[in-house]
Amino acid sequence: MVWPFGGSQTAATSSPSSETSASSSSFVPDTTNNTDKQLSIPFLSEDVDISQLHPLARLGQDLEVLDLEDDALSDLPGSKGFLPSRGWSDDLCYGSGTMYMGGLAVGGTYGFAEGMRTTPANAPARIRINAILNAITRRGPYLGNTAGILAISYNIFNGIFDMTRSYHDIYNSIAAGAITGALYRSTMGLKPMAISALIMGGTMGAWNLGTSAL
Amino acid sequence: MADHTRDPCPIVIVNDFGGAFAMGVIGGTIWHGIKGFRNSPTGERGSGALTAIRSRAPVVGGNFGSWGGVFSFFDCSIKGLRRKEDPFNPIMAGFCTGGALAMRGGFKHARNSAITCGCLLAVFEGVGMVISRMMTPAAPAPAVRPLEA
Repeated sequence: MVWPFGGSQTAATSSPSSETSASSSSFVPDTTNNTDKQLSIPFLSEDVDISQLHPLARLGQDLEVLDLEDDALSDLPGSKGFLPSRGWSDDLCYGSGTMYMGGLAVGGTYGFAEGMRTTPANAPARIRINAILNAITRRGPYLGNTAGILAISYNIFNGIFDMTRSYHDIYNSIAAGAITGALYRSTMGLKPMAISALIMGGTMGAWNLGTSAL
Repeated sequence: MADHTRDPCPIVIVNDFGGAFAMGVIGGTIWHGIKGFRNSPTGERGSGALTAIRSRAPVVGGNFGSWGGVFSFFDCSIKGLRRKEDPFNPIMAGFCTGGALAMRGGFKHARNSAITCGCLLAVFEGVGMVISRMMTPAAPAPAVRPLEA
């Protein structure tokens, strides 16, 4: 998996050979010497097939030590987006984390502005700092909690739909968003529920269309 | 061997944050659902449980999430500074997290909270090491044959 912050591993493996030989563009292990040939090691009583020595190292095959099974991406049909993901739990963690941090940042900024605005300009610095901190801690976590709850609920429903239908498409997303929106306003009455469901479903549909267009 | 189940460092903070938040929300739903159900008078138990969940579960999730996120942030920073991974990283990160989250309560509160969190993480790390040592099977016999005289 290549993450935006850590994509240097694949580049590092192929770099040494690019300057040594112009003919081969990438690093290819010399498979003719060690695939089936018995390697003789002096202190062993008889020759040993080195591919049997250490299965994880895959000495007899190509260089594939990097593709361990834990790194496998989700193989659900239709789920390959522009964000790499190992499955619904990955989506859940990253989705709610991103939404919470985004909500916290936006709410914190709003709270900072509110605290700056409400304190009188001639207040002592200590009182001013306290008022600003209070406003930040009131607005930030509220918005973050709300956004995080919505993200968790959406990802859980999306995961359930993906699992029951065994593939992912935009309708799963829209339905999960609509159910999330309806649940979010479920104590307010039918009309707010419908409006919220429309907004959330529309948002998720637009998000899916936008990311699949990339 | 590197731990391939976790993502590399800057971005794993988001993952930890979200995971801790989700854990807190789900746990808070169960906890405050039961609490609201028990504390409501008969006939309003269902709505009482719902109200308690609606008002309290996100707060529990937020507290869990901020702890996990700040911990992961400090863990990554300490890893980057020390350039090695050992059980002292989480302990130091727990110390810093406890201190940072209790900062608004004053120096004394922050210090006590930092020491408590550090000790807690030390206990976690110790128990984890003991368990992993107990769970590890005995080392297999070497694959090479003995020398023939």
